[in-house]
Amino acid sequence: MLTTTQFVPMLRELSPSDKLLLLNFLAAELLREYGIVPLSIQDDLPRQGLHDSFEAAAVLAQALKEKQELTHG
Amino acid sequence: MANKVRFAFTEVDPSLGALSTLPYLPLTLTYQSQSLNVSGLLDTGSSVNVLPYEIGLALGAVWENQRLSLPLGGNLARFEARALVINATVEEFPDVDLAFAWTQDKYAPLILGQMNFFLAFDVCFYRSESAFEISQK
Repeated sequence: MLTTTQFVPMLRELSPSDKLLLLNFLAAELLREYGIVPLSIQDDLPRQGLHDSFEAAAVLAQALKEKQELTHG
Repeated sequence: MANKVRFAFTEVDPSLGALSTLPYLPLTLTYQSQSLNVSGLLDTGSSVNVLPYEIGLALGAVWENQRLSLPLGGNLARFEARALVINATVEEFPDVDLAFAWTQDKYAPLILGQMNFFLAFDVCFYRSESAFEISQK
């Protein structure tokens, strides 16, 4: 595994566009790791809130039904 | 058996007093043999019950064993949620099964919503008196 002192000189050798791509890659990795939705796509997400999570409610109804079938046979 | 039980709203921020009161309901959740006393926010505007990740773990639930995944909206949309059915007891009422959207968000509140808390209990709010009454269906 490379140390910081080893790879910083290598990074300096990169072209400006590759440096930008690297920045973009690192930002995407951090966003994914912490479960953060990028600002650039937040407007594209469905405008659904907890008040209209009906699909989720249907899944819960199914879970309840399965539990009751297990309990009562 | 209790017919109707009255609860006071809970003051969330003492510096704001009555302005910060919310309808939190004390209840006991039981999963398999593990029980936990919690407070859930009565939220008629939520279509589902929501269970914070840590409470599910404290009850002994295993995330990997829950196979029904479900899509939540709003602030919880970015976290995966799975269905978890938990036995709940409110006061002296007979216990009921509540189906929760168990979210991986560690900071989510425990929400009691339409599916299925409000199908199991009738609730009457007296906001001007900072109180609510609950009866079982």
